[in-house]
Amino acid sequence: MRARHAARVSAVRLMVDPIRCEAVGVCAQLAPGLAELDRWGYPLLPAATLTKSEQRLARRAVRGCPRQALALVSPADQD
Amino acid sequence: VTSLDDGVRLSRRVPGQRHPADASTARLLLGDVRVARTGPADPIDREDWLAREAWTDHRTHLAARPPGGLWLVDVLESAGLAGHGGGFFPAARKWRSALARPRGGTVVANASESEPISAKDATLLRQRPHLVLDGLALAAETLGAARAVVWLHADDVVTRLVVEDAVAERQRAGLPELAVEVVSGPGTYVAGESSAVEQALTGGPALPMFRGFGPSSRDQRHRPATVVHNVETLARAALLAHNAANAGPQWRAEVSAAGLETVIVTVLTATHRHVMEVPASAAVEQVARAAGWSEVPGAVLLGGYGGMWVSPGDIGDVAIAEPALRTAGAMLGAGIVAPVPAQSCGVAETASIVGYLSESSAGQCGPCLFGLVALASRLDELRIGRIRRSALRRIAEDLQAVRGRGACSHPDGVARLIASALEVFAADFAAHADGQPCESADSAFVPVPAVG
Repeated sequence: MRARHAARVSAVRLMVDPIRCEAVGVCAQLAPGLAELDRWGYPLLPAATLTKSEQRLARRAVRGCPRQALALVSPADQD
Repeated sequence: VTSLDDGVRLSRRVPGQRHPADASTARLLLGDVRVARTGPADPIDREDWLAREAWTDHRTHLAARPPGGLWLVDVLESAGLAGHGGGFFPAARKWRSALARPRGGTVVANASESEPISAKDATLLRQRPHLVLDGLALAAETLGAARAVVWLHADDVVTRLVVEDAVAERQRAGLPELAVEVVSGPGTYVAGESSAVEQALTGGPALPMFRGFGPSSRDQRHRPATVVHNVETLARAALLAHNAANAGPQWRAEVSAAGLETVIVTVLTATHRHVMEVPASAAVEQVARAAGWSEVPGAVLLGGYGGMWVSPGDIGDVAIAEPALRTAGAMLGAGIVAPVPAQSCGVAETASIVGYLSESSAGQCGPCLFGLVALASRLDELRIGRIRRSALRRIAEDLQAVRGRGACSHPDGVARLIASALEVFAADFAAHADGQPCESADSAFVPVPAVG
C-alpha cells in the first residue's frame, strides 16, 4: 500500500497552461535543460515523467513562474 | 442517391415479420437537401423548406419516448455511439464521467457547426427538431441535469426559429421535461468547441478553456458537469433509446446498432453543398458520385478545415463510416466530404483554408497564435511563388512547434491539414517551392468565409 502510494506521488510531469503562459521565460532560467523556449519564447517541456533531480528544478520553475502557468501533474490526475 | 437509400432500407427488412427498427426508425434525415456553397443551411429547392417534422408526425413515426436512465448508458455503450461533432469520443464514457460528478449539471445540444462547409447539423435540426430534443431530454434525465440548452451558430436564424417552434410544441403537449434554453452563440470557428460552449454558458466568453491540469480537474470533480453533444449524436442516442425500448427481447441483439447504420455527410460540389444520409457501408467515391461528382477529383478534403486531405486512389473504396476511415488513416470529422477538381492547386486550397484558421485562433495560446500566423504567411508566400526551397523546411519546423501546444485542439487540426497537404499535393508544393506557381494558384475551389 505504502509503496504504491509512493510510486504514484513520484510519477509527475511538468506541464504548462498555454492560456496563462505569456512567454515571460523565467522557467527556462530556473529549470535549464528542462524548460526550453521556442522561437516565440514559450516553453517546450518534456513529455516524459521527471526524475528526482529534474523534479527539484521543476518545482523551482513552478514556484517562480510569474503567471503561475506551470504545474507538476501526476498522470493519474488527468482524464 | 436512390440506390444508396435502398441499401439502408433493405438491410433493415426481415421477411414475414415486422422488424422493430424499420426504415423510419433507422434514418435521421427526412430527405437529402441541396444548400448554397457557403452560409447557413438554407435549402436551394423551395420544396425542401417544407421538410419539417411536426410534433404529431414525430409521435406517429416513433412511439412515446422512454424515460432516460442508467439503462441508456449501457445501450449507448453496447451500440458504440461516438460523438459526431468530429471527435468521435465514446458517448457512454462521457456520460459515465459526468455521472461520477454531482447532479444538477448542464446538457448541451451543440448545433454551432462551426466547420464552415458543414450543413448537416442545421439540416437535421430543421428537419427533425424533436428527434434531437428527445436526445437532449434523455441525456438530461440520465445525467440528472438542471439545464438543457440548444447552442446555435449566430447567423443561423432559420434553425433558431424551427427549434423555438419545436420547444413550444413540446410545452403545449405538456411533456414532463426540463425546459429547453435556445442560445445563439457567436459565429466564430472556435465557439463550437465544447469547452468554449461550457465557458460561455457559465457567463464567460465563448473561448476554449484549458483542462489539462490535475489540480483543476480535481476541483471539477466536485462541480456538476457540462456535457456537450453534437446534435447528430443526440439524435442517434434518441433513436437507439426508442429502438431498444420498443424492441421485443428477440430483437434486442440486432437492435443494438439500429440508429447507427447511416452517416450524414455534407458533400461540396462546384455549385452547392449536398447534405445526404448514406449507408455507413457506402464507399467515399460512391458518396461523391451520388452528390453529383462525375469526374474523379484530384483530392478530397475529409472532415473539414480541421480535417485532412486524402487521395481518391487511397480512399475512394473505403467506407464512409468513421471506424473504416480511421483504419485507413483518414477521418470523418464533422462529416465533410469536399472533393476538389483534378486541376486544383493544393497549395492554393490549403493556403486559403489555413489563412482562415489562423485568423480564427482565439489568440489565447502563444504557440497557436504565432505558429498559425507563421504557417499561414509561409503558405501564402509559397502560393504566389515568392519563396523557395527553405519554405518547406520552415513549414515542417512550425508544424512541430504548434502540435499539441494549445489549450484546445485547434492548432493540432491545422497541423494535420498542412501535413496531409504536403503528402497529397507533394508535386504542387515542389513546383511552388521551385518558383513555379501553377495557373490556378489565385483561386481556390473550397470556399472560405471572411473572418468577422
